[in-house]
Amino acid sequence: MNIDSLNTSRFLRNDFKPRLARCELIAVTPTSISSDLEFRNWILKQPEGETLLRCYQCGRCTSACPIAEIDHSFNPRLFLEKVILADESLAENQLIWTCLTCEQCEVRCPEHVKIPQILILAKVRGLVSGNTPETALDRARSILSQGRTIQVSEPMLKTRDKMGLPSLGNPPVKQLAKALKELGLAEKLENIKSIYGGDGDE
Amino acid sequence: MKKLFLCTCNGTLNKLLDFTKIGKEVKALYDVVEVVDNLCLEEGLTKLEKGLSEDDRLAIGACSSQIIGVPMKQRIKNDLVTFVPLREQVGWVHVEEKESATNKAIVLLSDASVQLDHMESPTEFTESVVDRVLVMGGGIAGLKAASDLHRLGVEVTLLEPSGQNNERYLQTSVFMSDTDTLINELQAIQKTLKKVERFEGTFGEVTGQTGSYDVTLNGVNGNEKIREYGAIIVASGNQQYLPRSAKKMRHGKSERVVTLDSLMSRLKKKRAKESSTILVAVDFDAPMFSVEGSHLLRSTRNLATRGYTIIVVHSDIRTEDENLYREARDSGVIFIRGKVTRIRENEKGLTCRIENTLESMEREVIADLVAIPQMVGPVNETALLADKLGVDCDNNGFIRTRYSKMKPVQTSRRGIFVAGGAKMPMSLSDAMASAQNAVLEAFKVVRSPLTRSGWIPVIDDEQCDVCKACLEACPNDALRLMDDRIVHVPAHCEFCGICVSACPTRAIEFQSHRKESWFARFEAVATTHRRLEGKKPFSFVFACSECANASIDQAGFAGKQYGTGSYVIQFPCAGMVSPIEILKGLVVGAEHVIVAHCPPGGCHHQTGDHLSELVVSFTRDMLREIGQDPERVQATYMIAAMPEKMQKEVPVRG
Amino acid sequence: MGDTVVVVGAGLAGIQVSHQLADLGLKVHLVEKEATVGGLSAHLGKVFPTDDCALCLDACEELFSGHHRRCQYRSLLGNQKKLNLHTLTEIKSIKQDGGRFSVSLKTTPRYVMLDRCVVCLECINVCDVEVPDEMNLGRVMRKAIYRSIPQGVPLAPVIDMNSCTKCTKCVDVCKVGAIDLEQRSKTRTIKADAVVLATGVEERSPSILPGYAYGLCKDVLTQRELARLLDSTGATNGKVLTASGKQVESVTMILCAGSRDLNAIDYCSQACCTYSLKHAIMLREQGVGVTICYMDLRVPLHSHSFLERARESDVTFVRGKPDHVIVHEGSPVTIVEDTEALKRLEIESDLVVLASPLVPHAAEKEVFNSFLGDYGFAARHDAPKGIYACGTATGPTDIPASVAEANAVALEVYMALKGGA
Repeated sequence: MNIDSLNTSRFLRNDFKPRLARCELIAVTPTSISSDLEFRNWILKQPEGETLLRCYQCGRCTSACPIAEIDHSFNPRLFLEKVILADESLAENQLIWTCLTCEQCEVRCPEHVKIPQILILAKVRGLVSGNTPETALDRARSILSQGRTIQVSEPMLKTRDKMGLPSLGNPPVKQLAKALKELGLAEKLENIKSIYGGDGDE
Repeated sequence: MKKLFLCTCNGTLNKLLDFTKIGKEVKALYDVVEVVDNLCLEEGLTKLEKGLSEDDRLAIGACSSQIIGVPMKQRIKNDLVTFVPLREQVGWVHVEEKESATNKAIVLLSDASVQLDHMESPTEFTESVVDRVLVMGGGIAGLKAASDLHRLGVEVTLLEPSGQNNERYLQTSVFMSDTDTLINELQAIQKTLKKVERFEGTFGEVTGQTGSYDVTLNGVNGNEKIREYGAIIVASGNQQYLPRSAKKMRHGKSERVVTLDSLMSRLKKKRAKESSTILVAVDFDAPMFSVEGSHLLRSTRNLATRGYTIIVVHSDIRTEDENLYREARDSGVIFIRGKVTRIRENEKGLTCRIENTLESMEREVIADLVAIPQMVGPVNETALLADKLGVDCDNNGFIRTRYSKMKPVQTSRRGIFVAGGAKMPMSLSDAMASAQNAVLEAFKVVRSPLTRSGWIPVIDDEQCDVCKACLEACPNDALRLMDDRIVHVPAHCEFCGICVSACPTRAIEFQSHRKESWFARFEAVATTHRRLEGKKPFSFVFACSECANASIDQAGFAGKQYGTGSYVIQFPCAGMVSPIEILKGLVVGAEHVIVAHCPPGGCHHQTGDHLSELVVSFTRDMLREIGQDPERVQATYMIAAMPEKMQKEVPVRG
Repeated sequence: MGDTVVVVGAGLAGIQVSHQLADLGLKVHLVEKEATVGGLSAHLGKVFPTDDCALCLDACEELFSGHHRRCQYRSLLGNQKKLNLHTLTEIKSIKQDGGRFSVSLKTTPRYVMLDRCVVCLECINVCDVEVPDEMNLGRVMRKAIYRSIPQGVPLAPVIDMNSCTKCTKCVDVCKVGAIDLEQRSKTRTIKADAVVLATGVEERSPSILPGYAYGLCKDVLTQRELARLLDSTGATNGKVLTASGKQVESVTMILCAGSRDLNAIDYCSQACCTYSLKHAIMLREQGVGVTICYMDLRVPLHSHSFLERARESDVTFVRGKPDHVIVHEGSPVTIVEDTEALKRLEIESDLVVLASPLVPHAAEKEVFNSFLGDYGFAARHDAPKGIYACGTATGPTDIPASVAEANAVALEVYMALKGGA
C-alpha cells in the first residue's frame, strides 16, 4: 500500500498558530542556487574545507567577530551561509578581505568550523578571477620589495626595543624575489590590477 | 464518646495558643479533653491508644492531618476522626496574635465537634476483577503490551485491524527508529506472542466498569463474541498525514513531488546516478514532534550518504539526538532555515523558490524531486474508538491522559489505559516504555480484587427527577442510569462530591457532608466566633483537600502570616461546593467566602477547578441581581508551591 | 529470586520507581544523598507541562482512596512499610555477586533523629548561627540547623556541622531529645536483587564556560537560579531582584549556553527550552521584559502551549547564539547576531539567564562509572551488568518522560525478579 494514499486533511495539528517568517527581503528577484554546487564542493575538497558542513548558522562567529563590531556589513555567519549555498558572489565580494584572521570566530565556533580558513579559500577563488583589492596587491608587492607585508618604520623598531622585544632581523629579500620571479609571480604582480580599483577598503 | 486530643507539639504550640482557655471553652463540647505533649511520638500515641475505645468519635487538635494522621493510622482503627491543624493553620500563621489565634482554635474545635456529630462511617467495597486484559493494538506498542502481559501470566486478547503483518507494522512505525532496530524489536516481540490470543477485527459495545468490562468483539469474518476484561489498553498506533502545505508544494499535481517516506522506499538502496537534487520541504507552519525531526534527519542523512544532493527547507529542527543532526550535516545535507514559497514545474525540473530567513533573501533552486515529510497523527479510527470507549481525545485526535505530568497512560476512564502513539508520536524506546506503563497499570487492576473505602454519594430516588446532570458532571463515570434510576458505581468513584453540586434538586447527598452538616458547622463557627470576637468580621475559605489544603499547610511551614478571622473548611474537592453552601456561609455572617481549588486544569478529580469557578461566578451573578456585593464571593487556586496564596487571597479585614 | 531493590536517588524518577515497586510488593531501599528528597525538582517551584508544583507525586497504592497524586510532604514517603528511605546517604560501592548485589551505604549524620523529631522548629528559632543560604543563591541567611525548603521530606531539620558552634541551645530546647550533636556516620551493606540508578542531572556550572560573565557579574544567573528567585517560597518571595536588590525590568535569556557545543556539552538537554519559556512567562506576568536568544526551540508538543503563551505575552525572540556578555556600568550586555535580521545586537538588560546544560550526577562518582555510557548517562537496562536506570540518569528529559520511564523500569524489575517467563 502506498503511504501517500493515507492523505487526509482532518489532522491539522490544530493547537498551533502559524509562525510568520520574519524575513525582510533585500532583493526583489530571487538568486539561483547553482545545481552543481560547484563553489561549495570545491571548498569542501580543500584542506579543512569540509568543516564547513558542520555549520548550523548559530551566528556566534558574527557576535564574536571584532570586525563585525565595527562594520555591520561584515558577517562571517552570512559568508558561511553563502558558501553552503554555493553562492560564488561571495568570492567576488571585497568585504571578505577585511577579515583579520584573528580566529576569534574559530575559537568560539560550537561546531569547530574553520571559518578563517574557509574565508581564505573563498579569497583564493576570488584571486583566480582577479578579485583582489589593491591594498592586498600592495602587500604582496611589499613582500617582493621588502620581504614583509607591513613596512617596518623607525619608530616601530624603537618601540620594540623599549619593550625588550628581540630584533626583527633582515628578511631574505633577494631570495624571496628570486623565488617569486622563478614562479612567474613577480611579473604577474607588477601587471595585475584590482578589479575593484582604487585603494581598496583600508 | 466524643473525645478531643490536643497536642502542644513539644511544648511549643501552647506558647502560641492559650491551651488553658481552649480547654475551658471546649470542655462542654467533648466528653473528654486531653492535652498531650507529643502526640506523634511513641509516648503520645500510647496515651492516645489507651484513652480511646473503638467506637469513640475523635478530634485531634495538633499538626496537619497529613503529618499526625500517618503514625496515628498505624495505631488506632477508629473511623470517625477529624483533624484540626492547630499548628500549620493557626499557631504558626498568627504568631503575633495569641488571643485571636486562641479564639480561632476554639472556633475550629467547635466546628470539629459538630462535624463529628454528623460523621458517618465510610462505606467499604470489595469487588472481584477479571484477570484478563484486552489490548487494542495496531502498532508496535500494542504488541509489546500484549507480550509483557502474557509474560506476567495475565490472559490477553490482542485485537487488531485485519491484515496486520510485520511489513505493515514497519510502515506505520517507520518514524520511530532506524529500520534495523525496528525489525529486530518486532521480530523479538513477535516470538513471544505465539501463545497470545489474537483477534482480527474491531469491537462494538463496551459496558461495565474497571475490573470487569464487557466488550463485544466483531471479527472480520462476521463472527461476534462478548468477552469480559478487567482492563483495556488502547494502543492503536499512528498514521501519517500530509501537512497542509502539501498542496501548495504541488503534491498530487506533479509526479516529481512525493512524500519523503515513499521516496525512501522508492529509492531503497539505489545510489544516485548523477547528482540528482532533492528538495525536502518541511511545513513551515506546523511545529514538528522531535520524533518527526529525528526521522527527517535519519532519512536525509541516508539519502545524502548515497550521493543525492539534499536541500532541507525547515524551521526549528527538533530531535532527541543532536548527533543525528550533526551526522546529517556531516553527510552533506544542506539546511535552509526558511520556507518554500512557490514551486513551478518545467522540463528541467521543479523550480522552487525559497525564502531564506538567514540571508533575508529569496533563493531559487531547480530540484529533480521535491519530498514532503509527513506529520505523524493518530490513526483515523481513534476518535471513533475513543467515543465507543468513553474516553476523551485532545484537539489533534490523540487520546488524552488524565494528568499529563504524572499519569502517562491513565485515560479519562478508570481501567482503560493508552499506550504508544495513540497518546502522541513516540520514538521506539518511548513507545516501549509507554506500553510497559500501560501493562503495569493494567496489571495492578487485574491482579487483586478491588477494595475501596470512603464516603460516597447517596441518591434519594424520591427527590431525583433523573435530569442526568450528575451523570454529565461526574468526571469518573461513577454514576450511571440503570432502569431509570441513577446508580452509583463505587469502583469508579473518587469520593470527590462533584455530583452533589451538579444536582439541581439536591437529591444527592454525600455521606458525612450532607447539607445539614455544612449548615450546622457554619452556624457553629459563626456563633462561636461572635461569642469570642464580637463584631470582628470573619471569612470562610472553602478549600479542597488536595492542592488548596496543601497550600494552606505550607503557608504555616513558610510562616506566611494572615488574618485570624479566616476559617478554613475542608471540602473533598472544590467542585463539591454549591451555591447553597456559599450562600449559607454569607447568611451566617461571613464577610467573604473564598473557594480555593487546584490550579487550572490540575484538579485531582479532573474538573473541580473549573466547576468551582463556574459555581462562584454563578453565585456572584445571583448576588449582583439581589443588590449584594458580588466581591464577597471569590474563587482562586492554591498550590503548595505558592504558600503565599492564603496570605494574598484572604481579605485583610477577615 | 529475592525481592530487594536499591534505588539510587530520590528525585521524581527515583520516588516514582520506588512507589511502584513497593506497590508491586517488592522491598525497596531508596537512597538519597541530600537531606531531603525531590532532587532537581525541589529547586524548581512550578513546573511544566501542568504549571503546578514540582513536588507533586503520583499517589502510591497504599495512599489510594480516590487520590491520584499527592504533595510530597503528604506522600508517606518516610512511612511506607515496603519502602525504606535513606537520606544523607551515599553509595560507597556496588559489588556484583552472582545474580545479586552488595550495595554498601554510608549515611552521614543529620544530628536530628527522624523518629523523635516532632518538627516544632523550635531548634531553628533558638539557633544563633547564620550563614548564607545556598538554596537561595546566598542572598539570605539560614541557621546552622535548618530546613532547605518548606515542603522538603523528611520534614525534620538538619544540622550543618561546618557552621554549627555546638552551643547546644538546640539540644536544650528540644525536650523530646531528638538532637544528638555527637551522631556518627554509619555504614551498612544491603544485599539487593536489583539496583536502579535514578541519579538524575544537575545544571552544569557555567563558570567553566568562557564569555558569558558568569561569576564575574552577579546578575548573570542560570535558569535554576532564576527559578529560586521566582519561587514564592524563596528568599525574595517570588520577586525577581538584581544582586543589588533592584527590581529587575529586563531579562535576556541565552539558550544552549554550553550545550549543542563541541567545546562544552555537545548534546541537547531537551528540557531547557521549555523551562526557559516557563520562566519567561512568569517574568512577563510580573511585567518584566524578556528577550530569548535561541537556535532551535525544542519544545515537546505537550508543552507547546508555553511557546504560544510566551509569544502572546510579547517575549522577544532572537535567533542567534550570543558569543559573550560584557559588563557595562554593572549591568550585563549580551552580544548576539539576530540571524533573521542580519543584525548584530548589543542587548542591555538587568539580568542575563543562562540555560546551562544538564549533566549527569552519576558521572561525578567513581562508584557508578562502570555502569555509565556516553556522556555519563546510563542505559535503561544494562543486561550484562544487571543494572537499571531511569529518569534523567538515562539522559536529560522532562518530568512526564522521567515518570514514564520510572514506571517502565519498575515493571522490568518486577518481571525480572518476580515472574514473567
